[in-house]
Amino acid sequence: MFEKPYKVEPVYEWWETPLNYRSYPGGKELPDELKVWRVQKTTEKPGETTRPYGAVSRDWKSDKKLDAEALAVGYNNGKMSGAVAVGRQRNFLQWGFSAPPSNMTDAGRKFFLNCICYIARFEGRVPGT
Amino acid sequence: MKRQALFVVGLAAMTLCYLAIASCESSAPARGKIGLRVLYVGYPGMEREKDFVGFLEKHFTKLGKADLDKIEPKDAEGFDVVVLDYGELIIKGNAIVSPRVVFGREYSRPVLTIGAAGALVCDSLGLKTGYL
Repeated sequence: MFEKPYKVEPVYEWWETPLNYRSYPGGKELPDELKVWRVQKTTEKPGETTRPYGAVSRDWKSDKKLDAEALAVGYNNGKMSGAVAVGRQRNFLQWGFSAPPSNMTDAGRKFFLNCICYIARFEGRVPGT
Repeated sequence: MKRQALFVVGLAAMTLCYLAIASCESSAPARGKIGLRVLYVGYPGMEREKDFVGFLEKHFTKLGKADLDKIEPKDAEGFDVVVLDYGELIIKGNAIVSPRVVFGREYSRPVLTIGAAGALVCDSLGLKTGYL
């Protein structure tokens, strides 16, 4: 997912652990800062509500039986650590970032392209099974 | 009301990701383009549509586009992947406008949904990638 067809080379930063993470199980054990990388460009401070928005679904684990994979978790200030930003179930891949390509980082654009390539493999799976 | 409140909480900016798993075996793009036929479905004439279309046609051998308000599943025949882009969530008054679900629970082609509206679509299909 991060190597083919494009090698994704994130630029890492350290961001303060969001306070909302602390209120979920395991949250108090998290370090003070988390290693993150930007998928889309924002102009506001880390940890604040920013545009463009994104969406995460609650924390869930990959599950072969459900044909579901959590592909990337998202830093967020509304849910728990481990909330899923990019995930797949059956033939649907949810890309949680809302920015158009011109507002993605270089690493974000490559990751987006790789996600399109990845979901192409899942022809024939249907959501309703 | 409870659902609405949860949406407000969930709308908190999620701007990056910091951990990832899984791998991909896609082949390297031959002569600069990836050999996939991609259909972008969005709102015609919007700057956002131009942005996505311009980017995707540089990278895939075939790029089609369709109107999100008019598309039917049969329109995606001949494409390998559908990119479903509702843009950002539309809020009228105090309510989130539910996105139109084009591809239902029996649809079998690969689909990539984008952003919070995409997550709502996944939610309506009962997928784990849904918003809540």
